[in-house]
Amino acid sequence: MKFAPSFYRKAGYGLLAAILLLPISSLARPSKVTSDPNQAGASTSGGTISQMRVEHNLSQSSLSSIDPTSEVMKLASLGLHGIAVNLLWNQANEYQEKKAFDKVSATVETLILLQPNFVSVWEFQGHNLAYNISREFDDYQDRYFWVKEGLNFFIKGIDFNKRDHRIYDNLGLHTGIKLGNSDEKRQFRQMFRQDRDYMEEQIGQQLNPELIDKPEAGGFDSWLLSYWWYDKSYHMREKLGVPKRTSDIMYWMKGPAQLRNYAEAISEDFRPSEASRRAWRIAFEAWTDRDPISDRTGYGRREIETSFGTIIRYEDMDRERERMLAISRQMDELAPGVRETLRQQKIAALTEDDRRVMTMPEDQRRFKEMMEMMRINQLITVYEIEVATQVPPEHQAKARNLMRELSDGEYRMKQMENYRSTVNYPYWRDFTAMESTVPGVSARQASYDAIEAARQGILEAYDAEETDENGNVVAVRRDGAIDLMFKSFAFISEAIQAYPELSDGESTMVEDLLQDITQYGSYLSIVGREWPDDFPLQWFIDERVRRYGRTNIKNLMTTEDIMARKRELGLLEDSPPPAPEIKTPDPNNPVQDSAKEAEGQAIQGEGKAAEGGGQATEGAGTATEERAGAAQGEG
Amino acid sequence: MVVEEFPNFTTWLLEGGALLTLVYILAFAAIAGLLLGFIVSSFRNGPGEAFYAVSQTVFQAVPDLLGIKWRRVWAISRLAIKENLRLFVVTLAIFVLALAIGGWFLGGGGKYPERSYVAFLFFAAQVLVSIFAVLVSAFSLPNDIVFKTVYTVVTKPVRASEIVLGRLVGFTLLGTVLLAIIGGLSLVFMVRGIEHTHEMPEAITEDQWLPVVDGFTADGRRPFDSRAVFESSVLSTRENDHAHRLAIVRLDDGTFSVVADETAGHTHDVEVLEMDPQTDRPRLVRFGPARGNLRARRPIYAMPRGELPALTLTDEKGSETTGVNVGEVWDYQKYVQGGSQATATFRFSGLSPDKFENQDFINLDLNLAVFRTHMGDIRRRVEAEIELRNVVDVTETETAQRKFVKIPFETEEFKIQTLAIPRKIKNGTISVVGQPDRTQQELDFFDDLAAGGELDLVIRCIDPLQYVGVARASIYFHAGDTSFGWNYFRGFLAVWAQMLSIIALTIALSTFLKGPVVLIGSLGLVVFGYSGRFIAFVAESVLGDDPTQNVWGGGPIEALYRIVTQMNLQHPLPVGMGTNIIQFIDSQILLPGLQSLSYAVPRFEQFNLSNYLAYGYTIDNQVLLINLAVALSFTVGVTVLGYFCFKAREIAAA
Repeated sequence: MKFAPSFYRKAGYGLLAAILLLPISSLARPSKVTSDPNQAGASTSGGTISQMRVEHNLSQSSLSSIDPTSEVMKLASLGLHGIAVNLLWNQANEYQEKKAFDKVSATVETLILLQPNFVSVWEFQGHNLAYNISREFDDYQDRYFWVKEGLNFFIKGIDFNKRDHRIYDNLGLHTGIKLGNSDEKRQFRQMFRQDRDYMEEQIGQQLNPELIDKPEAGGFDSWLLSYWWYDKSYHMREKLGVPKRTSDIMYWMKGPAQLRNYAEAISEDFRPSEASRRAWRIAFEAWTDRDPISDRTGYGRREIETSFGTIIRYEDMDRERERMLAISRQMDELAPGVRETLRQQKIAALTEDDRRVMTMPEDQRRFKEMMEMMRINQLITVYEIEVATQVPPEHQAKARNLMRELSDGEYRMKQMENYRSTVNYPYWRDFTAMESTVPGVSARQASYDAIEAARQGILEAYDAEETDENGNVVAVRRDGAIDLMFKSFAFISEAIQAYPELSDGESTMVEDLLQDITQYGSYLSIVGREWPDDFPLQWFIDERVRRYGRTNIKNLMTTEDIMARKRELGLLEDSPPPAPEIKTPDPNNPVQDSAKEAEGQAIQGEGKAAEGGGQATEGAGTATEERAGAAQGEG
Repeated sequence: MVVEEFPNFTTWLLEGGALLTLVYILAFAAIAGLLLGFIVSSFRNGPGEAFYAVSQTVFQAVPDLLGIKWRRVWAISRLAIKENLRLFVVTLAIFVLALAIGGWFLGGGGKYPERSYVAFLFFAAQVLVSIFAVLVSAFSLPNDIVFKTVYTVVTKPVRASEIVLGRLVGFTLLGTVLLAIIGGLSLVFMVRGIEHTHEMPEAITEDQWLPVVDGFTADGRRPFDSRAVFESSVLSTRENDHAHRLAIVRLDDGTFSVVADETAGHTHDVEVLEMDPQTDRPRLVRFGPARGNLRARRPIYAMPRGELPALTLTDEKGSETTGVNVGEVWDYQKYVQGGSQATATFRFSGLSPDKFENQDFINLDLNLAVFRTHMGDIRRRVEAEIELRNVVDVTETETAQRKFVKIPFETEEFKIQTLAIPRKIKNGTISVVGQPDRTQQELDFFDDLAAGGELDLVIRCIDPLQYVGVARASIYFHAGDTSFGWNYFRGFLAVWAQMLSIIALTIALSTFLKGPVVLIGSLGLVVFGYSGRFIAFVAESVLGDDPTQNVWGGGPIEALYRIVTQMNLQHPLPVGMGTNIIQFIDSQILLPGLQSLSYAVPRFEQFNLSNYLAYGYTIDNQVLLINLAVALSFTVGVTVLGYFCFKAREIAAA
């Protein structure tokens, strides 16, 4: 039989097509759920692509709920949904440039149906709605609407991304910062408190609105909502085992930080009370030990994976230091008296000027001397490696082991220190602890009352009438803003005693205090009153001036200023102020005093290291590295 | 609504050169058809015979066109309709399916659902009708020729012009019926989708009526109605993705009424069912149907007056300027600085009482933008002032009475803010040079301020260092509304015009190409029609004389090369022969070709007038007229081309 050439050609094409089916089948064969009742739910492995999909949890059902609309959109674009997505992105951008925001919103809704599992799209567009578009509107009520549009957008993304915690993280972030920290936060939070419709219609699908409805917050609180979104994210990580997508340091901080923001917000929006003190206490516990609301591990006890792969816990700092000191003592036992001898030698090698600074009482050192002292401390520090090299030969092996332990420990401590200072861990720990004390909340109460009085223009005490329990009208004396501020400072002074680090350095609290004290001084000037002799935070001002000079506090009165002023007014005898007592070193025994001083320094240094000062640890780290190097050299 | 162009049909036709272009198109169509015929015939029969055939065709064309018998045209039209009834039904079914699925995507439709509905429906109608037009027209004539059924027609005393025209009429009629059904269905679909009412979830309790104190409610809101004495803290039930808030307002006569806020572009009438005897405030209410969406406002925009433009801006020192751009990419709106001498003056003409539905209150609609350079009082909106003043003849500046009235107001951004100006204005001022101003004068809007129909409107921003943004369409007098249904019909008329153009184009192509080629060619040209503006922009920006204005990335081949090699747009191509070839093909062949093609078909995007409907404005008569004129002239042009091409086949066969 003879066939036409076209037949052979067609047969060839058919054969080629059949051959091509083999690799296609091998690659793209879908997995099938078996019908065998004994193996319910089991499925055949399918082609290579199916297997990879299962291996990486990329099947649609494992990524998200199956949304028919989204699937239809993807099918309808006939494999060209990449192009459609590009067009829609361009369109959305163009609409935004032309301020057609309702069209942006509609375009984004369509766009997201084509890319439902691409979290970055949700992140970008949710942020775009809540931030970029909302700020285009002049009316704060419109802005509020668009912020909620952004938040709603994220909420829609939850079902599409069941194995990605970032949607919840973004909800937490945007709910917290946009509603609680923007220029319009006062208006936003006020509207949010009563926004029952929004809570029930939108949030109610994910969270019980009662969780964030608090009498002390006057209704729904945005910071608490933010906290709950983060808590949902933590639940995903801890209970559902979804993979982590962000670094631990910030991730685990966010939830507890919202409780602190909540405490601060209700302390500013309403007159502080026992409820706000409790809120501060909860914030403290969640920040450090254990979150009493969700019963999760507190931030300070969390295992944080560093970028170097080590695991640290902020609250392990003290324990780690204790361990290091113990090792150091063991080293001393191997080489008795060596450390002290070396120290004395180093002190003896100091210049005359250095020794003068060293022997100066600490409370008389000014900023320059303090800087000098830091340098001197480095000069007289005895490094472990110096001790180790003088250990007798029979104990050298043990000394090397100790050095290794010290080196590892210091490395971990350095990381702990860096991480703690990155998130300002010790500051917020002390701050929340201080705010949750009775004097702390009393200070806030007095401050709140002072602001209210100042807002009404009442600076000085005044007589008023009020009705007592029996219905009688009685005359009462009420404080003005000046006296209320004075009370507030007295409470702060009391509260802050237990947390000296809070009044040190350049923290937010220090800035706020200086601002409040300056305000207090200006009120005194307005009413023509003198700076009080018994100003409760006088020690704070004096200390600041002594340490840092008059930068930022030019208008405040130090004790010296007060004395000078009194002398000027003839209220004091015209005698010069007593000269500061400067200890001169005993030429016969320079070591004795300086050793005492150095001991004090060392204790303070430890304290600093514990509270987050970087310098001491930095130096220790360097010393450790040197020691480690020397030990290796010896080995 | 954004209106960037205010065309006038007469100016467009005569001064804009549209008429001249039409003549060119007709001449080009005739010459191109004949030339094509001559070339093809020359190959087959030699140039001498070809010349004879072409001359004969030209002479026959006149009687051929004049002798068209509509009876024969109608007969061919009926045949064309019958041939395509099946496709008609399929297209209709697809549209119904699109409506059903479209409902999923439209959902609640956001804040302004009618905008999403209109955009979707018009897009669906445009796309479907375009495809339908191509499909019905592409295969008809080529198939007749391929299957030789055309001989059953051409052997009859039927002219070539009638064959072409018959198809045009038939397909157009079929398309018109399809479009009418689609339009009707989509209108019903949209009205049903938007139609809704609400309920209050439960009786409104005393504490849910928040008193309005110092202009704000207890939860920090500015009441939606300035007359409100109480506003509800609870919202109605959520329907179509929105809910309404209620307010008790004090009316001018001292009585109270309950009103619902304007959300999603509409409001509802509210009927009080039961009052709380303790507080004398409503407890139970009933919402009426939605009111205020699906409207067609009739705006009167500012117009140029002689040499003076419709809108003039002055800067903070009072000198004329082009306006301030506050740093936005889109410079549609120009900004007026607050607390200074900066102004924007709008010139209105033709303001006569008969143009306004309500002559006692003249509605002035504002669609302003606001830009703050400092936060200011966040609870207050930026304040501005409008001054209405009569137009004084320049020859009478010394003696003329200048009459004006100033209206301060708080701006509302991104929404249509209506100022109802009473016809009799009490606080007017009359000013004559050399005389003290007479204040608190009663002025009649039409007799005093808009005497002769002309009026100047000056807008200033009051708040220092804040800005108010305006464009020509930002402020207009709202004369009244036309019927939404009528407006909708006019919107579909533009889609019809587009369909007509596509049918004519495809028939013209089908006179000399095979069916599949016609299909692809027509679809390609339709795509060109939709993206003509973009293609022209790309071509001009690459081929332009000023290299500093040119966009990066080059023409199509260069772009493809960059995509494949992932090369940055600003990175120069490697020097060599390959680059030379790429750039030569782009700049000498592809881009000029694309540019020419982009002008060969109408810009189909201009036939989509859905924006007017979406934003609730009457479609501009001038725009509609221009669309129809473009479509008709294009249809005539390509039909003539089609006729000559069809004749060219006879020439070629001769």
